[in-house]
Amino acid sequence: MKTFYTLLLCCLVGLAHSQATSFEGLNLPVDTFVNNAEGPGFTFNEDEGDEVFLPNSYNATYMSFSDFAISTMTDTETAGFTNQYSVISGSGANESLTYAVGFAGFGETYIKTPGGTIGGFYVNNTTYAALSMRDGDTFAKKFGGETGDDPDFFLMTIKYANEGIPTGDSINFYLADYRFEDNNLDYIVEDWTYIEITSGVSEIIISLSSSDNGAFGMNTPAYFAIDDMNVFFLNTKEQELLNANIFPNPVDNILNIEVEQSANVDIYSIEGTLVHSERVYGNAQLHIEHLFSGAYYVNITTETKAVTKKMIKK
Amino acid sequence: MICIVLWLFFLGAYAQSDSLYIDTVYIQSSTFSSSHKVLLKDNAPINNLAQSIQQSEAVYVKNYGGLSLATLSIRGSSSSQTGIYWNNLSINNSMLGLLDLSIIPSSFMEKSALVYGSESTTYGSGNIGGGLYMTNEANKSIRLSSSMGSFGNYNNSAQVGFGNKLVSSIKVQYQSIQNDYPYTLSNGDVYTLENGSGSQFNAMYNSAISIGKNDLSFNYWHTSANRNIPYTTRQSSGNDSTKDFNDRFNLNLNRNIYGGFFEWNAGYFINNNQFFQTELINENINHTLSNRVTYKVIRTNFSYTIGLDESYLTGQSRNYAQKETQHRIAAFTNFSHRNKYLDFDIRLRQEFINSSLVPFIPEISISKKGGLIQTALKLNRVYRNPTLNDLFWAPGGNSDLLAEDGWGGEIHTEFSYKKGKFNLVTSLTGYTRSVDNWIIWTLISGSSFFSPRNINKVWSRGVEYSFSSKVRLNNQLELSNSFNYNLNLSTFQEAQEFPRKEIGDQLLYTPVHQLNNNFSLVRGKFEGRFITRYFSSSNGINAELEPYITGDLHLTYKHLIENHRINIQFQVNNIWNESYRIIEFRPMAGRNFLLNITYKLN
Repeated sequence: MKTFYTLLLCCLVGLAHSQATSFEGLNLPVDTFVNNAEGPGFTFNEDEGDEVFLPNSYNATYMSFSDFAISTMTDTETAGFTNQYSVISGSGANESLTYAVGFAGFGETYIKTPGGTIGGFYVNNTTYAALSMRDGDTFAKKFGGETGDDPDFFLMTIKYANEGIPTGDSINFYLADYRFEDNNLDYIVEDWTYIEITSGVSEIIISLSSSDNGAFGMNTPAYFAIDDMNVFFLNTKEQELLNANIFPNPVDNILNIEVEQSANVDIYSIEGTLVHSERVYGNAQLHIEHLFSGAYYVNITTETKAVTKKMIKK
Repeated sequence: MICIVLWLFFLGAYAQSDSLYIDTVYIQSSTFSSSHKVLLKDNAPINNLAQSIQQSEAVYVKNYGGLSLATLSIRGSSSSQTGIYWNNLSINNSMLGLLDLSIIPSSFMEKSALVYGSESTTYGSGNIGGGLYMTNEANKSIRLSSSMGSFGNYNNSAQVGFGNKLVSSIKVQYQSIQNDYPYTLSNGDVYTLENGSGSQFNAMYNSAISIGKNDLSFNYWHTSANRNIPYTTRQSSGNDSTKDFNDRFNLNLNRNIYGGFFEWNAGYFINNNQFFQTELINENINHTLSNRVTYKVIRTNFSYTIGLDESYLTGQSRNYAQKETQHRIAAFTNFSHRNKYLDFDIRLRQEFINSSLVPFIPEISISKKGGLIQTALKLNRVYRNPTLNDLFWAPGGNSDLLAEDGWGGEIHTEFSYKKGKFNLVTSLTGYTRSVDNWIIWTLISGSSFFSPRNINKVWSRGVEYSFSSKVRLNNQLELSNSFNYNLNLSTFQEAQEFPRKEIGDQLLYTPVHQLNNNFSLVRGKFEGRFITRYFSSSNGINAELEPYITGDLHLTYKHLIENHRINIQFQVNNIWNESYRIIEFRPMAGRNFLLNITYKLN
């Protein structure tokens, strides 16, 4: 049950490796969901030190859940609570089948990766939340309000933490934003969108907020969907650390590699895509003009050692 | 068990010969009857009860518009703290605690009375703010009524009575409405209400017979309603709807025995409420079997009553873990002493729920009689048992809930004056009521769903003033005016997180100022009536609702030939085309028209 599907992007024998946890390992049939994990949540990748943990609170009496459920629901049309497990795009990120649905209606939820570093994940609206914001329902408003001019928003706030201790940093992602002067720019997220986590943390705390609030709290359905979590793990059991360095960092177009022996240098985007690969023979300079600005992981490996460095391209 | 015993009692008495007809429908109110107000029934013959109350009284009807849900709030009570009674038996939905007045045609009830203030000692749980009391009397009149109005509103009803010893009457009513009325937003944009259509069907059978010393009556009432839930002003899609099916059976026995009056009311009520989105989302079914027995002895200077209430409730829902049941039984009594100057009442009630005691409920009242001015004082305890949903709803139901429990007091003074063709009645009532263990559905720390808790305390106090006058200027011309003003402060006495309220905040959907004025001019066969209503602002869940004032003009032509009466009425409602909302985001209809023709043969 608690298996995981791991897409090894790099370093099968390296010191560090990246995993895109896409939840396919539950092998759920299409249009089903699991809202009751065995234990306190869903653990993907049960190898020691490589776990990705999504909490789940299930009430057996009421058959209700909070935090996370895993779903393959495809209904993009049905409005309302009964369709709470569907994503508005109808499938997981990158055309996959399975994704996770988060519910954070009464506070926060979290994801943690003990022994790893969260690189990012895809996020989308659920059908319930998206249609509620688009059309309104008995309890929640149609975004834009009666006139269409209300500056509404549905905001996901991601706080960074390590071992349960918040670092104080956070990022915001608008699942819907109607605050533009030009109403034509207003949007509700309906496609999977990648959120990059650049702070090198092992835990994120997710909360939702909305402009639509009443005496009983937030009216907008407090749901979101995530998929393809990109996580970097250190694996000290298998290999020794390679003594290598990169500079300058941040870098413009030429990256200096400082290594005492022949090595493979692989550069991955934050999403885990291999964007540059080169064999070097000792110290070397890599031309990376073709890379876009942003964060990357540089994986340097020899036959027996490896190291992963984070690089910022200006 | 009570049913069986009473049937045996009735059969045993059947052979006796003396006949004494006792009105089967009276309200067992206390000496404090000056606060007892009877609705203006014939004012608008096609009204539902919600409309009747709105047009005649200054109480707050929480109305979602058109044929949608309408519930009653008296003196700051919630809808589940307002008792609704049919032939002396509570018909509040045992799962929700409330009753929808929008699907009750006023013409089906021979008497409908609104009582301000609690009658908890006599009528039990849920009668905190006051009550609406409906009674039937079988009669042989014939009545046909047909109306058509704006926004596709068609309403037809018929009543026929027959029989001599056994008098029966059959009533049917069917209404359909499109409710596609325009409404205006604050920026001037005009929209049309969508998904507001609905229909309802009511059928009732009343019968009464006197056999020996026994007066027996039987009533059956069926309601089915199929209603869409209109979009809110911030909703552009949806197909939510409800279906309601209610069947109510009622049997009443009155008998003069051992110098006193014996009365038995029995009822079996079935409510089936279904909620649909694209499919059936939930179906709530509840059954109530009720028995009420009273024995009253009246002497020159005193009277006493002893009584027993019993009800067996069942509830089923997709949100219940199982079929839930509850057995309530209560004993009550009252003693009244009367002399030339004073009426004095003591009332007591003790209820058990599934063998557990609920608060002991006492009441004491005293009235000064005689002269132009009458004064009355009442002190009483009030309570409301948790509904079945409060106890068993999943998720959240809390089986440990206590009854809401409080104390109230009121003082009432009334001045009456009559001289020649002029009469005047004016009254002033002041009241206070504090209710503890007030049930609120709230979010408990660490929980992911709302759950009811006895966490609030509410203090309600206010003033009710009425001034009614009538003058007949000549044989053709009569003027009358009825003015009612209610001031109600109902405030939280405990700060709440959900809903977010501070101490002293007014309850949700409870206007402080409520006003109703009825001016009537009768000239020969013509009557003109102008109804003005004003409600101050109130707190919604999300925002404050604006105050509003509306005016309704009713023009009636009455033609009477012997026992035949024809009424033709033309209504212009909301004559100033006021844009207002009673519930936030739910616009009410602007100016609208209605034509009604009613034929009645007595």
